[in-house]
Amino acid sequence: MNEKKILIFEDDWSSIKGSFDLANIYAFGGNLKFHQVSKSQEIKFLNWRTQFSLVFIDITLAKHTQMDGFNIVKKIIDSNLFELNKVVVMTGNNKVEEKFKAMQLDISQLKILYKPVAFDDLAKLLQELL
Amino acid sequence: MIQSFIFRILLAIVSILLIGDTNICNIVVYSIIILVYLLVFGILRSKEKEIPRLIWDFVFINLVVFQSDFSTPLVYFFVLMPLINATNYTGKNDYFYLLILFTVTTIGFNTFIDEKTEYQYTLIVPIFILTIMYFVSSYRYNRWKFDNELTSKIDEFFLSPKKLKAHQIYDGLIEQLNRYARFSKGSQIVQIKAYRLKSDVIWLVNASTFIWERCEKLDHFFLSELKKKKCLWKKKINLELIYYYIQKEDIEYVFICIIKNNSLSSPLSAVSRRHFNSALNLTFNKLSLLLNTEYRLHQRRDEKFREIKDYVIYVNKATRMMHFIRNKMTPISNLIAFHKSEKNMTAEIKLRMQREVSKLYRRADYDLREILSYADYLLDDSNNPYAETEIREVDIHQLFIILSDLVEQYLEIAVELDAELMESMDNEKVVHTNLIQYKILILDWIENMRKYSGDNRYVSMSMVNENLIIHFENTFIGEPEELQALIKNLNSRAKDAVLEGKNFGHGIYIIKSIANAFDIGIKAERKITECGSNLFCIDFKLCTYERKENLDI
Repeated sequence: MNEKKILIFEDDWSSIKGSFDLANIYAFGGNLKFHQVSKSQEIKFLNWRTQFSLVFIDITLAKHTQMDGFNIVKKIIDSNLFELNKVVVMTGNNKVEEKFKAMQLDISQLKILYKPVAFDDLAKLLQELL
Repeated sequence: MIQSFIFRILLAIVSILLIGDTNICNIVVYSIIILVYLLVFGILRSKEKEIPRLIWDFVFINLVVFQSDFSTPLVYFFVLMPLINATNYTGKNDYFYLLILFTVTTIGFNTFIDEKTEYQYTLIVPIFILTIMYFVSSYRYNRWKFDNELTSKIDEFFLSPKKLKAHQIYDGLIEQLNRYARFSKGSQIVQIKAYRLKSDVIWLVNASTFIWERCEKLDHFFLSELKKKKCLWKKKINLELIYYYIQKEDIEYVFICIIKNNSLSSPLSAVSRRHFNSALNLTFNKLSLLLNTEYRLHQRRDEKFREIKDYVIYVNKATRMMHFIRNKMTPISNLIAFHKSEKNMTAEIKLRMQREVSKLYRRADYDLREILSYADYLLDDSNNPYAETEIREVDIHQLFIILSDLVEQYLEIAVELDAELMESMDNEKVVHTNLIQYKILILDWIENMRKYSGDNRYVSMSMVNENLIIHFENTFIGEPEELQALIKNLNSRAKDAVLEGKNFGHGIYIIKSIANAFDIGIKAERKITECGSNLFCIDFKLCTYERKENLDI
């Protein structure tokens, strides 16, 4: 299997790393690579298509980040950085769709993953998207 | 306007009495003269020609009293009538002087041409007295007018639909005061500032214009003089500063009125100053009432904010904890998912997974302990500002008032009482409960009644065997099975009775929780009315006790 790299915006990586590692082993034999960042300023917003296969974004992404999850999604849409159908938003809040509507963002292609994320559900989603 | 016409009609009536002529032709002529007089008066009044009106009145008066005997009181009274009616003439002092002139001229002219009547200097005395009365009432009128306009200006603050800002009130007051004071030329009030006094520092409350300096320290000696005398004037280059001290309840105010004065002398004479100080007294007294009211409102808002702050912090904390707990469930979710998916794994995958899963156990254990500590925090009533658990002695009167208020407001019926209960109220029986929880219970039940009952509703309060019984009764809208389920759930003593009826849930749960927590008995039953409809009855039972002072429950 070709190595695929996934970009993950998550400030509490330790709580969710287990799910990604287990899903990786369970469905991909450990062949997926994860690039995790805690803040938006830790990565350049340039042409992710050549670098990553998927983008996961924790919607809150608090603490010292220049852009929160909502604004990262907006940046992706505005700058056409990545296909929206390859972006997954992670959240514990079921009001997140309303917030996107209020920001007038078309998120029909976006996938939303509700926490807590068990590895089997994550694996299914990864298989569907990759 | 009406007063003016009434006066002219009176003038015409008195003139008829003076003429006293019974000759028909003369009466007709005289009637025409009166009509012409009133008509011309009307025209001049409508065009607001004040001096021509005055002249026209005296033309008529002179016509009537020509060659009359001035020793006759009625004649003299007739000539003085305009003077007596003086304040009705515009209220301006300039016209009053003309009025005096015309009156004296009329009397002088008519006594001069009438060789029989000697000019009596005593005729001047009533004019003199009336003049003094006029100026006194004019002064009072102006003060009243000032007071009225001042009060209206301040009342506008409260009554105006678009809330007036402080500087708009001050602008109005400055305009009033400048008009009232009649300063020397070039002088006028340019600013008013209001301060609250604390110790010897005055703190700005508001002012007629924006001020950068928020506080000022006053000289100790100056301050004690000010408190004694209430009002002090201070000259500062081309300004006169008037300091005014007022205490309202426990708050001390200092108002500073700034007069621009380009002349070397004071803008007001000593006599005028006294009058002006009394006007300031009136102004600042009313203003300080306004400031006091505002201050009390601010205090209450701050108090409310401090109360709410605790609630807001608690709710925010609880919300954050829920988010946190959600995240912390991930390792536990993964452990469960692993066990569910095990059978689908190859041996190799399972082995690799087990190595990862083993790392999760410690993490899951730690996260579980954190979740439990958050749960402990939320369950601890001492952290919860919403928790109302204190039980107190409560008068039956209070319970009755709360019940009546809610029943009258929401069900629009009165609560029935029995005689035994009224006697108990007089004997000061009490109940051990929490008023807020009691109110929540009653309100919740009433809400349910409004949703699920027909028009037939009944509420009563009675005393049965030393127990206070609050009885609710209503026709039930719904299927008999639903009613049975509701009755069963309400009567059930199980702590977390499953609520079978689909329409009942949270409201009934709250009622039962409160009843359990505060030892309120619930008994529900069904009755059939004479016309065969279902009548739902519920009794809330509270034990009563003799009042004990300083009871610590």
